[in-house]
Amino acid sequence: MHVHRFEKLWIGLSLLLIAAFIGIVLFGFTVMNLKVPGVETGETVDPATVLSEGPFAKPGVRKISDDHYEVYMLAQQFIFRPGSTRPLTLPADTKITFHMTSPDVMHGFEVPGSGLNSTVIPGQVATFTTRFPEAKSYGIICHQYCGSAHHNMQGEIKVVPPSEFDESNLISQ
Amino acid sequence: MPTDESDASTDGAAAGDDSGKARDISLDEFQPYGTLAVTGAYFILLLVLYALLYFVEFATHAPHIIE
Repeated sequence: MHVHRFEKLWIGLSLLLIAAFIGIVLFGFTVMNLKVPGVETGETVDPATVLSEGPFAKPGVRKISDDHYEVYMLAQQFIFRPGSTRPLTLPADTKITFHMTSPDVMHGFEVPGSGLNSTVIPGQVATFTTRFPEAKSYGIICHQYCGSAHHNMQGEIKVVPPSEFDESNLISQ
Repeated sequence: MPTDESDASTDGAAAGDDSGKARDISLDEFQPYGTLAVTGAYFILLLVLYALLYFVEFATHAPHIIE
């Protein structure tokens, strides 16, 4: 079959484009070391008892070390606990690990304008670690339709300088 | 736009007389450089915008997931 040289060029460029898309994503996950939210291996929770048993019965911030805190957060109709009724306060430039689950329906967790984005699924624990670079206020929204008041489901993360972080509100281990 | 005169001359032309008739060329003689330029510009735009979206809007927007 005879193919015109311009057509050969266009076929070649189309294949190159696909290779470039895949290459850019692979570059992100290897060289730039980007991560996506994970599910704790083998760890599931019972949505019926998650509010009364285990770490999610007392959602909040726990201290792992001086440079590492973890947040157990519930996304439920139609609030983030902690985060919605009063802001979730976290220290800046410190490792923060989020563990999130839902006792009712599927929710979303997104900090708009950032790379923090996860789906929160009943029965599963979504986990990721981040570091807030500066002390300022970040919003949280639910990006997964979860019911009649989904549009009101929002929260706030108040990031303060590490020296001003009040540890009296931590949940004891 | 063809005029009435050229239509008339084409209609009246004998087979083999090329005056006023579009020229037959082989596939390899057809060189659409204009189309190549437009497609090439679109191709480069697509690559640049994809990289911009990925690196500026997604990959470097702190805070992001580190573990």
